[in-house]
Amino acid sequence: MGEEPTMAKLHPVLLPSQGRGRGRGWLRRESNPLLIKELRGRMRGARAFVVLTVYLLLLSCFTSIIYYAYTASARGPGGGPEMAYLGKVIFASVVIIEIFMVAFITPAFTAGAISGERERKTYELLRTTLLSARKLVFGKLSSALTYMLLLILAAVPLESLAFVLGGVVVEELAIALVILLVTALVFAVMGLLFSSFARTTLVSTVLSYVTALLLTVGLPVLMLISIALVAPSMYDFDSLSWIAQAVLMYLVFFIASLSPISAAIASEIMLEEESAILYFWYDVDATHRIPIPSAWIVYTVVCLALVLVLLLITVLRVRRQETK
Amino acid sequence: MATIVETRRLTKRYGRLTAVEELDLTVNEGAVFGFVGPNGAGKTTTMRILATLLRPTAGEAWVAGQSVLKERRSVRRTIGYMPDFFGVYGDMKVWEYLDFFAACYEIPPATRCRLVDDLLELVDLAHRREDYVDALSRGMKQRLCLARALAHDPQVLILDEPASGLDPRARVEIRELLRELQAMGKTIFVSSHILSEIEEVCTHVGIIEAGRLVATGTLEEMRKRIQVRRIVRVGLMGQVEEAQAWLAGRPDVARVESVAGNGEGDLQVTFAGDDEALARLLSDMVSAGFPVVLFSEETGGLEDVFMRLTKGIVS
Repeated sequence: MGEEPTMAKLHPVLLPSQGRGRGRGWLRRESNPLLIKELRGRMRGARAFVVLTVYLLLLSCFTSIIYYAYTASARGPGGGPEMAYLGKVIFASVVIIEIFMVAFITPAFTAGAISGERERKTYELLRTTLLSARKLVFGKLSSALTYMLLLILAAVPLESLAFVLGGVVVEELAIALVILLVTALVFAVMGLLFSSFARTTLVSTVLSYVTALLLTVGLPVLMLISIALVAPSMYDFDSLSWIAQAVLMYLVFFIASLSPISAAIASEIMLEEESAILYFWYDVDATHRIPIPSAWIVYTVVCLALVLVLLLITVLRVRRQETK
Repeated sequence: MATIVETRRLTKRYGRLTAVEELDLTVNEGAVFGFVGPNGAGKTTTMRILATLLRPTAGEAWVAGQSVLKERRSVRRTIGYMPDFFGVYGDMKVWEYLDFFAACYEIPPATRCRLVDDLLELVDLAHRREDYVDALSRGMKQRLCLARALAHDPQVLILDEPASGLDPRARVEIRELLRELQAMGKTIFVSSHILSEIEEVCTHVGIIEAGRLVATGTLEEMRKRIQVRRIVRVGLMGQVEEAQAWLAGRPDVARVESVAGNGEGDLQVTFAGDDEALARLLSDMVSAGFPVVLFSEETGGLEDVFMRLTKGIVS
């Protein structure tokens, strides 16, 4: 019976599809099916909008509190500089709060991405299709990032409030956005990595949040403590050779650039003190000066490199899992 | 008929536990191969290896001539797999679910819409097209999962206990679907721990126990294996004891037992012989003057073969 595949008669549409869509995944404009599915699921129902609303409400509350606290405490003669300072304070606090929120909301979207499929017993169905490990990982990543992008862009008007008060330039906003986007990217990939290794979403979520906490709070605090410990013995800093001084400077700035919080603060200070958007020249002594890149650049480069490595590990892990 | 699924000395060990041991299996193209064994016999492990989800410890397996170890992508293109336990994306609509998997099988968007409708028609879910997957009954989800496995028009279907946990009606529906799929020329490799469940749709049966293939062959061959010793029930209006003695004296009768029946009681005859010999026995009995009112063979279902072959090593 049926030498001729009769399924093709029932589904004549099936025949032309055979063998199409292979390879050249990056060049083809074929969209990732997982991305479409995830976005559909994410934006469906109230959750996505509730998260967005709560996020904006929290940010607005913080902004209002800072605004009223500042205007209440600094009731001076009024005028330009105070308002400009207020603008700066509001901008800085909104950005820092946003960094925290991005660092803690992003893992929620990716920490369960792969472990959740395993828990819901949908992973095997997915793995027996032709969807590659790379497409699976990128689909999950881009769906989380798309939503994070929405959150970050939705808060831009709040940050721009500072423009009304003055004291903030467009470059600062641009730098803040870059840091926020890179933070979302790095935490999304981290969640995805944990999700591919952890047995359960719970483990993956805990690991993601511990890492988020370490990077946003732990690292800056550790840095402050070590500076406080090292500083007293450093008053003979000038007696060191200029190379040793340069190396120390690079080290301090490099470590400061590892955490999104300290990177944002350091970038702002560099912009203020040295009006350095990209880099500034640091005078080690009378004859030697070294270029120091702005913290946000170092942060971005380090994060992107980390993202590439973590993504590679995740894809390899997903690819390997089936062969166990 | 060409071989389409083949395993050679397929072995899978988990630590000290051997799930599948040197399994040699062949399934012909167009066959409905019932893979039967008690729980824990190694059915799921074998199917997962064929579905490219597990790597065997030793041995090889091919689907449509492609190695499940080396040509995994081509094998995935060839098979439609349905695991014994699976989840569905409850937050998707029925058509979205199928559309998503069709896209995962790289079917171009232009043809997917038609395909989804056709698949829904096939598994009789067209009226639930716009419903959420979560709203479907278990049997419907099972059918949806089957439709999903058909999205890329695979040659071979690997179905792990497709009827487990379903109510009788849903079981019949799945069975009907399997028949329909066989008529379309698909090879179906289907497992079950209850033989009678798939007996009606199978053309071939393989019985596995403790990781080893105990018996395999066509349904007819398997039936014959038990019909070497057939059991015939004979009902008489009288002369039961005489008949018993008479029967016991015949060379092709192995055993005669008196069992409770209507009125005088029936005899259960264990008979070793083919159909011709059985017909002769009846005519001889009638000629001898026994008032025979009932003469019927107790058709041993495959369940009997199963029970006899698997001696309950696992359970």
